[in-house]
Amino acid sequence: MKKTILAFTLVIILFLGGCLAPSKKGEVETENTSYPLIITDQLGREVTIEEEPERIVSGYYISTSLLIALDLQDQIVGIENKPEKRPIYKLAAPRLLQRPNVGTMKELNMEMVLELEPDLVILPVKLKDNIEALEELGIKVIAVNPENSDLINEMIAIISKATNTIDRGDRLVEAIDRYTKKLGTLLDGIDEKTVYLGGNSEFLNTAGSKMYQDTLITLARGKNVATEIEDSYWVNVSYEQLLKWDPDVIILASEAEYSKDDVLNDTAIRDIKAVKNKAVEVIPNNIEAWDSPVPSSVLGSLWMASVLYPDKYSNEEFNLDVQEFYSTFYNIEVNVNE
Amino acid sequence: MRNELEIRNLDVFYKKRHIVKNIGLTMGTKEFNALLGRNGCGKTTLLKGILGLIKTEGNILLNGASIPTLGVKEKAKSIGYISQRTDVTYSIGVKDLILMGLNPHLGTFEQIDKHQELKVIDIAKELGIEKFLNKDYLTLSEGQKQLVIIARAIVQDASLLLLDEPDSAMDFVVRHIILQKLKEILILHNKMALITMHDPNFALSYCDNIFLMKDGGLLETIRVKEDGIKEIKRKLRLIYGEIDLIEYKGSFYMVKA
Amino acid sequence: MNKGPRNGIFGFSVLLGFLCIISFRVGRYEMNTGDIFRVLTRTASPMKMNVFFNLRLPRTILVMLAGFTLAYVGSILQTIFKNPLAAPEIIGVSSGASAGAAFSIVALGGGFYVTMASAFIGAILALGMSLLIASKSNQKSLASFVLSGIAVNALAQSAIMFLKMAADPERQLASIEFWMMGGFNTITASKVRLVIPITLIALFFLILYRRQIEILSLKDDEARALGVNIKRIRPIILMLCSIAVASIVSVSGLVSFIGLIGPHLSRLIVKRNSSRVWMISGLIGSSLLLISDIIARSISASEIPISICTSFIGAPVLIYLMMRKEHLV
Repeated sequence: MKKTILAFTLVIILFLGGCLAPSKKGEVETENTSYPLIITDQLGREVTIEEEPERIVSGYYISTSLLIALDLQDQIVGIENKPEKRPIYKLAAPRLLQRPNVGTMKELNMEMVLELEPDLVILPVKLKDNIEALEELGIKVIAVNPENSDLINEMIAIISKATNTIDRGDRLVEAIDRYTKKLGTLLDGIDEKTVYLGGNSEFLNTAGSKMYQDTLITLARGKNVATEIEDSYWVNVSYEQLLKWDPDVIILASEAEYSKDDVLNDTAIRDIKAVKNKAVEVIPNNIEAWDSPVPSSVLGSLWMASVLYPDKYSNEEFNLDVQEFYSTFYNIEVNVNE
Repeated sequence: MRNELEIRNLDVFYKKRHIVKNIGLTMGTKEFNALLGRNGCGKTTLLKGILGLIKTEGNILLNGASIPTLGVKEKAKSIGYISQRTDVTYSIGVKDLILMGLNPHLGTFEQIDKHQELKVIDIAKELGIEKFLNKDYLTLSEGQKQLVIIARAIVQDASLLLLDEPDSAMDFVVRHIILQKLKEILILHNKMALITMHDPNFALSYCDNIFLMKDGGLLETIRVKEDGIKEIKRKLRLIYGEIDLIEYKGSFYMVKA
Repeated sequence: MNKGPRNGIFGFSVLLGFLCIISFRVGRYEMNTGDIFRVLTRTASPMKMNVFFNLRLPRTILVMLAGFTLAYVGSILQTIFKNPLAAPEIIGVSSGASAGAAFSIVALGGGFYVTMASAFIGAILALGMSLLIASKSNQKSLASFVLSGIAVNALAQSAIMFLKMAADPERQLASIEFWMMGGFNTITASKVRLVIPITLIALFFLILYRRQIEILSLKDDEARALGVNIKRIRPIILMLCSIAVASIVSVSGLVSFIGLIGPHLSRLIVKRNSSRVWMISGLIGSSLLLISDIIARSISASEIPISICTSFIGAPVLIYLMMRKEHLV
């Protein structure tokens, strides 16, 4: 009896301790957001949101996708240019294709934003100058910078808190976490294969260790051959370098201008393991571009795992996981093999 | 063979303006003739017209051949041109500059052979500039530079030399040397020369005939050896106004009256 | 005859041969001198033979040819335009090629051969336009060529800016920027087979025309009086220069500085401007570009764009030579 009371007391103390622990930036403590609230965005700015936003403008395809996942597509009044490029809109929120366009990652159409009278604007940090200008005009802007997995999770937390969708936000983060852990468990102790990632603009263009694409590979327990490159942008490499690396697998970025066949038929690299074994695949983008830091990007790592280690994680299993993800968060039925 | 230049009814146009009007003159081999006149009289334009650099109408016959109908290279075989200054942007060997004179006689892709190079050395010796052959043209004095250009014109083997104020950049002493040398070369190599000048005295000292131009037309021709002092004075007065003529050691000199 | 140029040609040829051997030896794929020897005697492994004959050898040859062409053409242009600041850039070849390449990247999918053809056509079109404008102008002098070159450059630049604006920032824009910085990392034997004959033929004719080009260094009137038909010859020379440069640039992207500095270095070393000295300029260009490429491909796993290296190496060499009071020959 005494032991049980002691154990019970301990649990209560721990529970109380957990509740009273100071919250880290971005972590939410309550289920419902209470307005007005002050948010710190990913530029470090403090933004005051007076009330739950009804009219949201998203100038970034990543935040637009997130808003759909948080079931907020009806509140979106303006989105980024060229939405027809993204299959996910047609699949999950076709009405978004009719919304006015507010600009690109390089340039924002300020007047359009103002015309839409938004309660909240979400923009990438690259548009810092526009953000400051909007701020002066009294518009609430949250800047996002999803450069790696942690920052993606942080972005989800910030946006869900600002829009009173903390529940869904938490579940999204938890799902991402779950898939990530799944990979860890499935592939624990595996003999890592070497991977070369060919860039969008050119095959001999690749991403080094500091880039987001590197995370994609490492989560899938692959070894990025270009890990010695420390640039934080895409770099050119030579054929010789590629021959020296001799990767087991070659992955092409989802929007590559060249094809898998171009690589397989390139005589300069026919002696590479990946080409000899025909282990060349393109990251799919028939639903979303999984090699960019969209909320669903963990699926990119899952896909890569299914390509690198099909006997540990088959294509069928992968398809099931993808279907689960999209039906839960985007309310759509998908099939990766279409 | 007797060289002869015959110009009849020549009009020369520069930038659509009719500068030289209805000129006629003749020149023969070994003659050293001058074109004299005030600024703007058209003497440089006439020279460029004979060369074919600008538009002309009329007859220019050199040794019977009509010059305006000839191609650029053919023309260059018969007419040599020495301008006021030959400015080059970069250092260039004197010998390379002189060798350019061989261009009219070579096919498009034909290259210069040793035999022709030797000929160039001979001509350089004649003009007293053989020690400069390997030197940089830019390091020469004005007089030496002009001798190089004259050497080039001789290598060109043209029967008519046209010189546009070639002495204007030189000092008094060098001018005399150059003009003297030129006269010797003409006689030795059977060529004729037409030179534009500002200073009538140099023309009177060295030239056989002086063509006097005014307002684009040929006013008079002074035959330096034949015309008497009164004739020459009269003709010069048509161009220069109040002048007088002095005789010294067999030559005439113009002074302000 | 001034012995200077001849000694210079010999000296720089030796230097170039030496650099060539270094270039064979250096690369990301490890090959030691023994390997090179085995490759040349056809007794090495197939992989090493592939690396050497398909990658390293073509790259070395193309880099040497590119350096030579750019510098030789630079010498010719500085001569014809009587301007020590002239370079292949001023006749519109570079900006025309860039516009062509940008167009291919943005509108035609940016495949290697398509971009190559597009860049080549862009360069020739730019020159053609230049020549056309110059011929139609009232003043048929050298100045009109310079002005028309400026006009065409401006047009090409605005086309490039427009294309950059239309480009997808995620991939196409970077592609354009990389192209304009130049690089030899994609060179293989098959790509080089197209380019080398065209460049060599154009260079061959330029060398044949050297006498006329030397005469073009004089005033127009004087050149004409020496029997050179300027109206015909100058466009021909410019066209040949453009073809030579365009074919190089179409595979390598823009390589800056070599065309400007090769001629200067050659004139600093041999104080003359003659066709022999242009040869030296070409050999200097070859050597400089080869050194730059050796560094660009070996310092790190990622390729450094070649124009960065050429400027970095060329400028100090120029400064050093300017500081020396006496001349080397």
